[in-house]
Amino acid sequence: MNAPRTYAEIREGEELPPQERLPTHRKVLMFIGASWQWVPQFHEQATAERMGLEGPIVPGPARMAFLEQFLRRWLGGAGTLKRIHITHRRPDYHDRPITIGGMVTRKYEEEGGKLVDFELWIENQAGLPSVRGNATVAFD
Amino acid sequence: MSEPTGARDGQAADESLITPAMQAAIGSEGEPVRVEISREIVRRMAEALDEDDPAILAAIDGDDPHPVVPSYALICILSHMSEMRVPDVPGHGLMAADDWTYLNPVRVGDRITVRPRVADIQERIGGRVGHSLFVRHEWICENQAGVEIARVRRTIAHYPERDPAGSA
Repeated sequence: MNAPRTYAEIREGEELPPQERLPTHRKVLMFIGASWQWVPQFHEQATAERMGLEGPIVPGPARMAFLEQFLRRWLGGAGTLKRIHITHRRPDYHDRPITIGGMVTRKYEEEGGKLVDFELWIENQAGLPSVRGNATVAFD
Repeated sequence: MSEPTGARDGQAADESLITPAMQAAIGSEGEPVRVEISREIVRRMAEALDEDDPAILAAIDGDDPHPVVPSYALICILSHMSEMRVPDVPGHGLMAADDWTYLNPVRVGDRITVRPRVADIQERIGGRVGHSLFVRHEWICENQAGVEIARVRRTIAHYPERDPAGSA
């Protein structure tokens, strides 16, 4: 965890240092168990192949949680996540590393609140985007 | 949104997939579901995600009976956010997008009422998965005090079976 960041010290255009993560088969199953998301393509090889996938994929909500965690770690726990929007571009597979990255896109004040917008993404091993998204964090 | 045609099987690629039944489903609401944010399930989710934030771990394991927990705690109740059945949607469905708006903190012990609805249906011709339908589902999550804590929108891409897949 970083030290808590203040609104004042965050700069537009600032890049969040990328972080590698390995969604292991075991961890994905733990996620599925905790969220009770027993969707076949998340854990069944045959179903995934029938859908044209290379194997079981990392659930979309897990990838969203990875981005939330990544952002919170960079913020050092400061701020309050108000919104996160992600689009799923291509699948991520169990036991294949991903890289999570982000950038500050905008700082602004709105209706008396201090807000920061971020662009967030996940890239697969080949450096191709698997998730693109954005988030808004509010500061006191 | 395209005009509904009612045609599905054997139709030309540029004909709308949206049937009158689908059109009628837009805006429909499902039965509310009630579910509790339990400490144990949040702990399991934190473990699955390799949570390392000391403040969050302390909150989950501390003495406060109703600590504020990370917004991803709502993912723990995803199984109660079932997509409403939309008639006539073709083949497989894959998640295309997620949009979560957090309006108020989530706490252990919160009894959440989840209200589902079909927000919108759009179609795309010629995308990566070919002619496909994008169904946008929405869930409004309120706590036991009737305070809205989150609004979750999920877009599911539906496409014919055996077409190449490209999302989660």
